[in-house]
Amino acid sequence: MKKILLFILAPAFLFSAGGVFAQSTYLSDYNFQLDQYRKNFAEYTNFKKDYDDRPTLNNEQKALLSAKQTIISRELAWANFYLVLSESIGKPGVTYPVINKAATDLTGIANYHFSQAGKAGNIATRADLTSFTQEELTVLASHRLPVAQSQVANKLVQLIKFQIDAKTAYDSIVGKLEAVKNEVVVKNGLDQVQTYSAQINGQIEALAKKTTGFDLNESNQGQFYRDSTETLRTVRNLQYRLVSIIIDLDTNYVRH
Amino acid sequence: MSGTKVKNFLLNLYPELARFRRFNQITAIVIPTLTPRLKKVMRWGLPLVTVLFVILLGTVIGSWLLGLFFPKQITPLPIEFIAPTTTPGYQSPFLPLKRSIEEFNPALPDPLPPVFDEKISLESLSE
Repeated sequence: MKKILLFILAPAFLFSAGGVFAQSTYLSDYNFQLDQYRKNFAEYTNFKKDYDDRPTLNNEQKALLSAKQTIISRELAWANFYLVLSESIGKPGVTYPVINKAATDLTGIANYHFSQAGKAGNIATRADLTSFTQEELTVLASHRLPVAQSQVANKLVQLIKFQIDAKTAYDSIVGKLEAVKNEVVVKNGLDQVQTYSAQINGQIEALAKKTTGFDLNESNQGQFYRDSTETLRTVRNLQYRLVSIIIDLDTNYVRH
Repeated sequence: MSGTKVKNFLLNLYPELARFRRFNQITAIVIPTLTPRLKKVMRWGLPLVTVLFVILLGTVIGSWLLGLFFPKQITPLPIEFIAPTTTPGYQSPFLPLKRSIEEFNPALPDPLPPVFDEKISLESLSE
């Protein structure tokens, strides 16, 4: 009983929600809007150059309209990008504080960009465009932190799902090993499962805590990504060994 | 006769033996039983047995001395091993999980955010 409790030390406050997600079109929408943006941006670059060379009212109007179209496609591309990320986080159906926060943040950011796409339609003058872009730059800066946290959450959710699946696998074979559980090989295998599980849970908890407490003003985002990648790699390697042992026990010591 | 000679020889060598009644009893029993045939067997048998005994003793002493100069060979106890009950052709249902873990890419950021021009404007922007 103690061993089983140890195995689920970290996942004690997470559970599989088992949610069913409808087939998403976010990725195709994102790709479509990205293409639109590239076309619009190429046009905007040309019109802006014309306007810079010959600042007539006609050229200004063309550049302004082109800028509006570019911004609209950019905002829609951003919104769909964040929805793709949010969907990826929600798909495994895992509930965990840093993951819940990431999903909420991403939905908020996506809604902001949808709203900005609507607002961009109201741009009528050069001043409107400048004002819109300046406001956008300020808000985008505030999105950097939740986006960085969401990137880590997106990876964490997959590892937590692996851990839940490994736990299910372990539970399904442990009863069948009752007859041979005192044999040296089996005993060692079960002990190693406990050890790896405790290490994995500890690493996941530590990374989740670090991600929640991450401060962009104090830390470098690149370094944060590098450190997190290293921890994720460590957890993945431990999980690989854990599942290898479970498979070994299942294949060689469980009667089928 | 030779039995008497042996007795005399022993008494000559160890006169104290005459004081032991047991000695006299044994010689009284053994000497008459030494038939010519038995004497013949003993004549050849005793040296042969003695030679074999000396060879055997020498071998034992030699082995013992050899053991003093070479470390004793230690044979480990057999490790407890249970024969796996592998089912031929059985494939664990957890193999896909192992593959998923193997394919997990820990690199960040993933997905890579798109690169957009965030400073679209017809005027120079104050930052």
